[in-house]
Amino acid sequence: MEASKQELDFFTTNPVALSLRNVYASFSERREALGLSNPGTVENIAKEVQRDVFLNNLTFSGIRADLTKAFSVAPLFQVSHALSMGSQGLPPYAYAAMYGSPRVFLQANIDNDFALSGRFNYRWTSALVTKSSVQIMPGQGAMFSFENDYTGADFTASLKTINPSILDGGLTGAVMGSYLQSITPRLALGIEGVWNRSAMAYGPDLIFSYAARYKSNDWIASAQLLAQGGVQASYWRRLTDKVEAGVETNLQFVGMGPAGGPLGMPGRKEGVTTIGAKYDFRQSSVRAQLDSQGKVGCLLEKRVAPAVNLTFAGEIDHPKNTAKIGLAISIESADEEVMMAQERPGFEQASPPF
Amino acid sequence: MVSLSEESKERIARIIDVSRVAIHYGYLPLILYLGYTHSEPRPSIIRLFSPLA
Repeated sequence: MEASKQELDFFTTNPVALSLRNVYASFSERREALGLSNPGTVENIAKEVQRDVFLNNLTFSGIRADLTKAFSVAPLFQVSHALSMGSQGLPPYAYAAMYGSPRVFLQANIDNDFALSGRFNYRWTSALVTKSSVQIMPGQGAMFSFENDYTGADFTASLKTINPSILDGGLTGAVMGSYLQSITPRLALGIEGVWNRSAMAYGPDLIFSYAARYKSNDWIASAQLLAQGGVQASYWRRLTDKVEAGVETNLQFVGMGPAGGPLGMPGRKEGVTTIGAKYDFRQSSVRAQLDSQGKVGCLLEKRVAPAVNLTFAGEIDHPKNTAKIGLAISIESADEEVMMAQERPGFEQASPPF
Repeated sequence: MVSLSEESKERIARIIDVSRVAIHYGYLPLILYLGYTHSEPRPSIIRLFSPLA
């Protein structure tokens, strides 16, 4: 054992390995000295505008009621019942359960048609998280995806695959890789590649996009350039400590090159600009947005009682002359002991890998 | 490229089918079991399923 260890020592103590190690050590030392912070992911490059200010992910129609019961905080365990009426996308009834510890996060949602959507996340180390998700509809195919995220001190790398399969005689599915690196304490640059082959009959296609994000004290600007011909730019600003505003422009130049558009159609130009604002009050928040296609949306969230939230959503599409309206009530109930555990001094737990 | 024989392809397809059904009907009960056994104090079973209790 001792002898073999000494023999193997040659590989780590030879001059080439030592100098390589020195170079790497001084490189990482200088990199640390720059004081860069983690820039987030390429996917969330415009998160402040798209998720926080705009109501794209929050708006709904019809009447909805959510009932959430928390049974435990550490580990996190809660179940919820969701009922909805007159909605286009939401099922009439859905039951969901969630379990999270600092290591794992499990979540499943099943609706009245027995369609399941589930997620399983596992944190290998504090930096590396594997996320998987699956959607299964009875009588139809399933969709699943695996994602690995590495969150470094000043960069984020992620590799994602959707429905990978080798049964058709070759690799099919979609593979996405992205990398975002902080260049200065404020500027981050990134690249994302998407490889897609839906069936062996079609050839694979590879699309690259480039991303940049500049974060100042009270504003954030981000831009993403799609190699196929598209630009997305966004700007977020905190106006006061209660008011945030954001604007996003999305331009498409599909098939503007000499080859023409898909299926030989002539190239077309399309663009949408959206502007929105969010006001936070003590017990409520209001979001409003307006886009260049003539859509006006508004969302009001109000905390009626400590555990009861009321949400009102409205949207008017002027060119199509349609309107959507939604009302939701969500009730959270928890045992008194669970609430006490949460408020106990010194209660500090690493959050589950959501 | 990877080439699989018809037999092993069939076998893989069957494994995928079985695991799909297992995930479909087993994943939610697994979460409920994990949560039920790990939470302190243990919730009553009726409160896990009934929206009114």
